[in-house]
Amino acid sequence: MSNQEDHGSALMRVRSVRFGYAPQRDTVGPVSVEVEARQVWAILGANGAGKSTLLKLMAGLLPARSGDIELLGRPLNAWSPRERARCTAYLPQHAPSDMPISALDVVLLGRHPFRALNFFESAEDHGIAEASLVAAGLPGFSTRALATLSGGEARRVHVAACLAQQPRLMLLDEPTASLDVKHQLEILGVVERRVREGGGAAVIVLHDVNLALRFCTHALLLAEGRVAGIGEAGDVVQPEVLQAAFDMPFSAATTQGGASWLVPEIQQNAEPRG
Amino acid sequence: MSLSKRALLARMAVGVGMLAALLVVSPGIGSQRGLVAWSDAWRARLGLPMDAARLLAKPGVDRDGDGRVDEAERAAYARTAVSIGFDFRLARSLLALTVGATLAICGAAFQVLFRNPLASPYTLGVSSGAALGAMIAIRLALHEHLMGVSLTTLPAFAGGLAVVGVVHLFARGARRWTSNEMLLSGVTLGMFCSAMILLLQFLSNERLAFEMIRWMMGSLDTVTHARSVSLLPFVVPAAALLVFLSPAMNQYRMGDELAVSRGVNVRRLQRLIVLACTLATAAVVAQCGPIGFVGLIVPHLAALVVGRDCRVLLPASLLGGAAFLIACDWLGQSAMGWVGALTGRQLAGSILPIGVVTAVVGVPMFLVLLTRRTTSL
Repeated sequence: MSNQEDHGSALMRVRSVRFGYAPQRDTVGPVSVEVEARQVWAILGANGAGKSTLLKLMAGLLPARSGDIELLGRPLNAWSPRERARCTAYLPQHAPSDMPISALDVVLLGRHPFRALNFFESAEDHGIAEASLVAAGLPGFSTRALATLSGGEARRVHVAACLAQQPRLMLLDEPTASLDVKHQLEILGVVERRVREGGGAAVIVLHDVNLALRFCTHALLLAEGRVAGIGEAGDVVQPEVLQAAFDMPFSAATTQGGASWLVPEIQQNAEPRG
Repeated sequence: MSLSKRALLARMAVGVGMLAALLVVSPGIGSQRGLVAWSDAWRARLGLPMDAARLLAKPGVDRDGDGRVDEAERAAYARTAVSIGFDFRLARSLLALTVGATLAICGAAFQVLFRNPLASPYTLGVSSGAALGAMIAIRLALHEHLMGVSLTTLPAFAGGLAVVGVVHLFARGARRWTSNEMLLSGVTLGMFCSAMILLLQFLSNERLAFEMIRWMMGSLDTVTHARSVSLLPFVVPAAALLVFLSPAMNQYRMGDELAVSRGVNVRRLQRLIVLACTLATAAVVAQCGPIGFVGLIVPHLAALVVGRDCRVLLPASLLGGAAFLIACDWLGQSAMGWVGALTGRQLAGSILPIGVVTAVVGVPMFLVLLTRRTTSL
């Protein structure tokens, strides 16, 4: 992988990419973004804004209608699936959670792209998988069946599988979905630390703008498939920018600890229920 | 998945050992068990001395009735024992081994492919197409042999491939090939073939119609080893390919998106599974008829024992299917004898159709499995 060095610091370069499920209508695009090493990007936006679609384009799961995507300086569709899998890991929005398979086995599946003969996993694979489970806050869960875990625990098992893949670029679609507050913070903390220490990058679809503000260096705000805001997280996660994209007013509040927090303004003149 | 080379090899060695034990005793199991026991067959085959008193007790050995077994009688018995034990019983067991192994590993692969526990090797309509091909051959009274291959076998094989080919044609194009669409088109085409089979039976005379029904029941009748050998060019590469694909199948179980993101070419995987299973299953069905339930039940039984890691499940299904069909065949050969003993009639010579035995054994097993299915490991 000598060609990894001559692409500057951009891990992934997305140039005016468009995609649509229906002909003539673009679900996403045009979107351009450059993800560099040591950056954590949040993709924000309302339901149906095209967040997951953009992430799938970046993961190579969908073909772009126009524009191009480069991974480490090479067009994404020129990578073999296996080579690509050694550089990027993808967490789908809906990963199976009701299967009779142990948590460790799920995580070991993340080691698949690295197996030489592709049949048996090594002691090293086992070590990485166990460590990933611990990093995802699941020590002692190795032998638990996925189907017996809670929704949040199953989600964390799949995040652990992404960690075990040890990718340069992590593409995570709502890793915090169905997690409790503590584990939301922990999981994003693990991803952020992995990026900061490992020199990779992460792109995370998030619903919580405040989590984006805490853990992400950059943010891409989508509204109906188009870029409504892009740049450093602190510049994008601003009341007036969010208001345009979410079609509701936000205001900034400061907690007792001094942290800035964005809250939606709830219309008080609504009719009381009942 | 947590699987070491040593653990896999150890488990497979146990399975292969058990299967080998079945094959060792198989020359002694079948109808006329009193005449040739497995030790007799092996002694005759290996040229070991045989106990005269033991031989004398067997019916028909002492031909001249002088109360002694002389050398000519001993040699005649040895020939009979080898013929019954190896040319008939072991050949049958080897065919059952090949057929059962093929159907079970293909069933396991299809259950993964369709992500559906009710899938079997026949889900895409191979068996219906093969049956229709065979029915046409029987209707046209093609009893000749062409270069050693029966003229019923060839149309059956072609029919099986044709139906899957049509399903594949429907599945082509820009749209995604979802497993449910594949499943439905296969089932529908299967129904069409069944209707055509009924029509052919309606248009046939009684003798041909009975021949057709008999074919549909499946059969392991054989007089030589040629039938199992002729299956090997299809079965061995298919089984090897499926086992080779099993790590990718583990990824595929977790959904298309995760599999693709881990470097699995999902479309190619699906095609290779369909190709391997279709060729192997069509070959088996063309030879032996649509023997049911092996491909449906054995993968579930195997999963209960070894778990659902495809790298173990596929070889375990292979071994389990072989053992299951050998056992069912023994049952089919002995059952009429037991019924005869109960009713006081002479029925020991007849053999139950293997398809009936697998259904009778398989259905209760499957229902028990269904009610006891758990989601834990």
